[in-house]
Amino acid sequence: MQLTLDRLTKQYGDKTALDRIDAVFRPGIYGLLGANGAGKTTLMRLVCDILKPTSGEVAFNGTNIRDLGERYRSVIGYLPQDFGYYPNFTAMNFLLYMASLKGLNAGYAKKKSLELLETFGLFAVKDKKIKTFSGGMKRRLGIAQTLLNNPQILILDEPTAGLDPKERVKFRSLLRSFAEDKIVILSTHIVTDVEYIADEILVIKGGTLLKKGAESTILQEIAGKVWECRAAGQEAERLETRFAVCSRKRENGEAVLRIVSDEKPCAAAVSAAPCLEDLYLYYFQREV
Amino acid sequence: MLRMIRFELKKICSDSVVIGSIAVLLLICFLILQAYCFGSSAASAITPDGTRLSGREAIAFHQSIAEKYAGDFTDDTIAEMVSDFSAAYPAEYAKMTEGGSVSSWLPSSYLYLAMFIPPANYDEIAQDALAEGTSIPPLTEDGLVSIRDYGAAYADKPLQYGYGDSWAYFFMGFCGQTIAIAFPALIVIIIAVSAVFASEYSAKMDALILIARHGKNRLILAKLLAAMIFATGIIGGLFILFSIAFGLQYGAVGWNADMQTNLGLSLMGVNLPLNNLQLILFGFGIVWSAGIFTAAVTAMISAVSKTPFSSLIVSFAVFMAPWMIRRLLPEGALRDLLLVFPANAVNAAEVLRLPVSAASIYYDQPLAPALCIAFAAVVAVLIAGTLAYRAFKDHQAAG
Ligand SMILES: Nc1ncnc2c1ncn2[C@@H]1O[C@H](COP(=O)(O)OP(=O)(O)OP(=O)(O)O)[C@@H](O)[C@H]1O
Ligand SMILES: [Mg+2]
Repeated sequence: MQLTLDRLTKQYGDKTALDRIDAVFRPGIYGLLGANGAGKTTLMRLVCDILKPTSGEVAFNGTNIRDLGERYRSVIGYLPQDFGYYPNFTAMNFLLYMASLKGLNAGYAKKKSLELLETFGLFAVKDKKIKTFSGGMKRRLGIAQTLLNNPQILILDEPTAGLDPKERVKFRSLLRSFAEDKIVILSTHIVTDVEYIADEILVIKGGTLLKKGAESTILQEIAGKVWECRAAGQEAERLETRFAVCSRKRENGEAVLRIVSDEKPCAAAVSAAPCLEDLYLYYFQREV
Repeated sequence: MLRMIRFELKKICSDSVVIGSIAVLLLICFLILQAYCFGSSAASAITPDGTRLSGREAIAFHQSIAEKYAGDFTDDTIAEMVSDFSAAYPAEYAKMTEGGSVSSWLPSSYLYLAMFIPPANYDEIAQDALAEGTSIPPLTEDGLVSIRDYGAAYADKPLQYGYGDSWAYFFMGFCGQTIAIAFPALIVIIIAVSAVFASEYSAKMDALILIARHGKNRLILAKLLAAMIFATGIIGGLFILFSIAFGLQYGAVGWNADMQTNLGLSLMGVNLPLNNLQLILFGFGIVWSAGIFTAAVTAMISAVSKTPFSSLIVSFAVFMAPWMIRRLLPEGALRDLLLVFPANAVNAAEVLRLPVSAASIYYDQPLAPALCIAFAAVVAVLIAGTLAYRAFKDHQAAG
């Protein structure tokens, strides 16, 4: 099973949201990392075939998804970044509705819906209207909906947005167990999520794919570029304005700054082991 | 598929605007029934001795008089009616012969006899006409205008007479004029169907739907079918409500009398062999075609609109345009053709009467307007349905 993006490009008017993206996805979990407006949602919509690419194509096992049509749609699950639900539907009815769109037969749809409500901790409120749900409950219902048809390709646009830490942890382990033999693509701003669940990371910036690879491989890129400096007063301020600072804490009246930089920021700087957050800042310092 | 249609119907019917509009429609329906069914002049009567009757008694009185003449409707029947009328209600008869207005409480069989009573100066008119080289038709041996002068429909076979008030009021209240229940019913259809596709866009459900297996094919069909079913339900529901109300109040008496003999409707010249029951079914058919047409076009507009509100405004404008234009146009082919649009077609009495007018393009083709309306509805469903299908399928869920 293989999903291929071939010079995938999307323009809105004369704004290029995605620029010639090439990528191959095999079973595994992929994390999309990028600043607001980087093009993550656009990429996912193109992969879902709800947006027409300006040029290039998405192919599933070698066939353009536009030609596969219904056969492709029956193997994907998609969680949009934000969507409306039907406020007057109950959680159960919402799942049954989605199941009917996905062509599941009535008996199976009911069984599967109850099962998913249970999994996502929504069983107790299954007959409550969605408009009474909190943001996190809606998000979980949205994720539940993607799994109804047991999709081969799962596309989740910021699935963990709005989830509390406990639910996030639950979600990660759930995704891990589900993702066996499946292609899962998810985007998020929460770097730790990607760190914990993704097998591979895609860094998108301004519509282009900067990096694709396993975390350790990508981190190689900034090996030796992460520094920790101790500085006081004016010196700390100078460093903060000149360099991308990932974190700062106070120790003994001095500031301890974690800095990503190609050059050594100050004489006293010591090299530190890079993490994904450093990488993120390294690429997006001017935008974040 | 059935499940999808059920869900779509549920979505339509749980929209509070739709519920509100249905409530208003029921209120209008109630008012119309009040005026045409329960409080109509057919439910009041005055007997020869001056007693005033109302309600069931009055209805029974009207029906018993009409029953006396049930059967072939010939010049002899009319002569008998006129003579009975003059004997039972001499004062009212005198008013009628003088061309004055008569009490609407008279037995309905007598109410429209004025059209058979020649004016006092008939001889003069006849002579004047002769002097000008034309002629006017001769009177019958009883000195009355012959029914033959009112149209060609009954040349070979005599029409059947029977009680017709309830049928006339049913027809008028349902679809026999502009201000009937059919018009607001179409507006309710517009309100409901205008949200069918557009609400998915504005609720941001389009992406979820379009990635689902059936989202780009069967679901669209289910939505279109749900729109048609809703339209049918509204019109059918009103028809059933009317049938129940009129059935309870008047019974089915007179169902098999010809619509031409239902003189209050002025359909004498219409060359279509319909009885009263067939007339209201014909009206239902016309209104249903208009409803389907409206639903299809509104669904198409909904599929290309961004929000239910803009869809509603555009749909309403598109619905009303042919109605307004037709009112501004002088008589002519274009005006006649505009009849096929729902806002005009719902006036089923006009659909029947147009072919009687020599100036009309439907002249002497009694079924032509109805067939045109049905044909237009089929075309609208096919074209608008296809366009809606394509628009939703290719919708770019770009957020
Ligand atoms: N319908 C649209 N019309 C015009 N421009 C658009 C449209 N949708 C997105 N864009 C632009 O395309 C670019 C990519 O947007 P996209 O939504 O894919 O970003 P994103 O990475 O998902 O951002 P976020 O993290 O905020 O969700 C942005 O610059 C955005 O302004
Ligand atoms: Mg996004």
